[in-house]
Amino acid sequence: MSRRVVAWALALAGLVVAVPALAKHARADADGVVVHQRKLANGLEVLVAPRHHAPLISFQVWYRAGSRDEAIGESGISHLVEHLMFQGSPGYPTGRYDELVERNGGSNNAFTTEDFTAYYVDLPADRLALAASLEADRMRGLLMPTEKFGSELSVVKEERRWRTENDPFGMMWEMLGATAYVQHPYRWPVVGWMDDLDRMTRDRAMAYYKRHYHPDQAVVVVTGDVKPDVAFRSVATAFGNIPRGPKVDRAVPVEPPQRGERRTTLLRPVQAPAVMLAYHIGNRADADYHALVMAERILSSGRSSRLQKDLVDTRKLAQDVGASAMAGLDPGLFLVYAVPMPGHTAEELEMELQAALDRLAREPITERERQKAFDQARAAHLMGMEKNHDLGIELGTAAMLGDWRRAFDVVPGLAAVTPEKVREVAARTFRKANRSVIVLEPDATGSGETGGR
Amino acid sequence: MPRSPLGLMVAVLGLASGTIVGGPLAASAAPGQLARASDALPRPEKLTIGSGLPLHVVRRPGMPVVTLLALVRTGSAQDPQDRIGLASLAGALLKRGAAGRTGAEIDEMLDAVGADVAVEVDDDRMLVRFTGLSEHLDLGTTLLADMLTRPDFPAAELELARDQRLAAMRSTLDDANAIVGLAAARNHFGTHPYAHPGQGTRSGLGAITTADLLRFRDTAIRPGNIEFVAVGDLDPQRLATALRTALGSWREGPRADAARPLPPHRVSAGRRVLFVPMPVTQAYIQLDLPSVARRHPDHLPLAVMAYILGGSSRGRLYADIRDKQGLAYGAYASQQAQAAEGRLVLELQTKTASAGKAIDSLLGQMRRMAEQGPTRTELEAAKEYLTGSWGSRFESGADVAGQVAAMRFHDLGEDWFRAYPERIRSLTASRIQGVAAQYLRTGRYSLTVVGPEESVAPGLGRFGTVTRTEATSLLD
Repeated sequence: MSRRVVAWALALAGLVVAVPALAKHARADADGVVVHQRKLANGLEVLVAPRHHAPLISFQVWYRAGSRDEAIGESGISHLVEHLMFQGSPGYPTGRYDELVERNGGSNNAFTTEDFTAYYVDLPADRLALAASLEADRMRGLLMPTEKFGSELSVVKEERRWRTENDPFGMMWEMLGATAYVQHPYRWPVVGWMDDLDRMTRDRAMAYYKRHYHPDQAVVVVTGDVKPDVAFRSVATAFGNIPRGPKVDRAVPVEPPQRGERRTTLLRPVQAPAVMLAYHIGNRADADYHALVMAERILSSGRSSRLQKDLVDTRKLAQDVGASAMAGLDPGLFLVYAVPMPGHTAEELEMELQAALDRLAREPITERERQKAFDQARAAHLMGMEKNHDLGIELGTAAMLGDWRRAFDVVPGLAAVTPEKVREVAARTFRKANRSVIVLEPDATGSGETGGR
Repeated sequence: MPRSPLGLMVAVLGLASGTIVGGPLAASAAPGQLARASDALPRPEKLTIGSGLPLHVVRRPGMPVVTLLALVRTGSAQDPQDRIGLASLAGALLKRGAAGRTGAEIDEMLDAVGADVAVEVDDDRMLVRFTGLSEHLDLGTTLLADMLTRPDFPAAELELARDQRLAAMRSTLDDANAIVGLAAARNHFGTHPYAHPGQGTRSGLGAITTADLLRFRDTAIRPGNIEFVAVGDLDPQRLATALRTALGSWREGPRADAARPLPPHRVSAGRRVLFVPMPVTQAYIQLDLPSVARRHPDHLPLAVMAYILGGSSRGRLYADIRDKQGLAYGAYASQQAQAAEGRLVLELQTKTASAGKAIDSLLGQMRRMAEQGPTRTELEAAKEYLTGSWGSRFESGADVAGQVAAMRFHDLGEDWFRAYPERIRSLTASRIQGVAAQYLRTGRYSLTVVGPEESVAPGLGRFGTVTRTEATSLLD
């Protein structure tokens, strides 16, 4: 749903982004992939990764605009604008975009995160010019018909009901953001609070679009069966004459250090309780990041990982466990969670999770664990790039978080992490004063209707 | 967040299609590229391991990932009536001990190299799939062979897996998407084996013993019931030899008992409405109509008709219920064909107050399609999409392995990958309208609705005879 969830999925798959200290190059080779980079005069950055195993491409446009860029009272506007991007642009009025993609054998969609918004079309390689034309037109201008605004806003509210209100994990996730952050915009949900959606207007959505959707705020990523010069020419033809936008100030309030545990209990009419613990960490570029990814893998990657083996298979305390280092443009969270087995409580699992983290802070990981985490990450990285779409997502995500080269830094980044470094970072991070605890407690008297309308 | 789970829906449709032809920009396509698209479709090489076990190989030079898959012709629909969940549980336990290695040892071997063995069991099939880097193919070959030929089914692992599944049922009861699926299968299939929850029922899981698992192994996981598929940068002969060695004398042993033919699904007449109360903020709605099995000649026309009705963001359901009325995040239709039966499935979620209105819209769109069929433009667009996107269904090694397994399992013919686009192109508007009129009948359906009792249940009477069941009883 949001970048945090995306980041989680990526992190679980080992597709994590490293810290680069690389100069600007027009080209970089890594892991069998060559990436070519150019910047158009209007500021649009273009990345092309040619691969010829199938006559297919993925064409993606990434905008530096996410829920962190929203003002108070307009939560959800980034995601709503993503929806409205499919309601027509001057050259391709309502319905035309989807029709052309369909008739050319393509699939398209988009997603919004805290840090950015991404659009993609996966289609046969010879339809590159079509994809470029469709995306350029809606970067240039948007129709946002009044009658479509209302119905699309209703659709977004249905999405909120479906993904957040009716999903125990979705509810906990929303409360985690609201608990762990007091000042930074990561505290509101990407989909938006229902009350803000109720008061949303077309004028505000249009103003947001005009502020953020410009070539100098975007990155185009093309992966697949295409020659770099053909791709660059095609993108330049379609996007080259779109003017730069006004300068966008993306500064947001800095989250103050947490000075003591925070705790939220969520009473819902559910069967299974659950608990989440989350600790403040740095952003993707932070020097601790790879050590935290190593910790995440050792805790929960594969069935032989510590939490899975100990809490699920050996002691049978938990039905499900997980860990994830989630870091974006701004400082993020390290999350661990558990769903207790019947007969065990969230409170018990909270203690077990903290004990597993304390152990990381106390004893260095073994050499075998370090090697296993590294080999897993390497395999996951290579497997995660098999499809053009997925390679594009990695490049685009890394570009949005500072530098596309980070898409290839996972293996060298983890290779440099020592057991002592993991211990030291764990000791600094997994302190009770730095944590937020979210407990989901079954409460039969609660009504499901209270969340929506 | 995604606007719609489009890729997922297409995958559910099981449609997918081939060469790059047609489309508004077709004129811009270089002729060479059209030929390349067709050339890029895999041509599996067929080998045999020992006395007759088939191995299908698709070579993908230069790709770092390898997939080795065993297709076992057995599934949950074969579970004994008092052991619902047996095939699925046996499948999961293949990884929990084999040839003397413990589950923990197998986990360690796979995790150490970032590889995985996934076991997937549906109503008709079991797929055991190794995925790893090419350099770890030997490990995959050994483990897969051991899991198939010498699973140990340790008693402690059976107890653990059983307890974990029973515990997971609590989470299922918190998942309205899962509940509407289980309820709809029961409402539509009644006493047919396709009505059973594949993951098992409480009583079925409770009754399964080690002896049941061993019997399952000795009857279902046998030569004559298994084919292998391998995709990646590999040497087919070398793999065949390695598999032959790893399978040992098992491959010459007793062959599988034939799968029990499933009884025909007798659909009762009338409109059956099943309501399941859940404390959520939406109504989860699924409407099922009887259709045909995968190999029936009406399957493909039905799949195209369902695509036009609601297979994508261009579908009629999406255009009406989402784009025009703003009632739902998604509204979809699909032809879900299995080996023995099939059904047309229409589904959506909407806020509780608009449940009746959304169901009226579903029925209205069904009627319109049944009476008038698709427009010429709709049919052309559907053909262009289905044929134009066929190549994309073969992008990853796992995609290719899945396509080969489906082609073999449903006996679609060795030329299927190239024949499919031609078959789609040859469908006429009258053929599509014919199946629409025949199968989209608004007087005979199963409608399943999950939602809060007070705001949803009272409005359902006008859609048919309403039965109510508790979510928890779907797992009994």
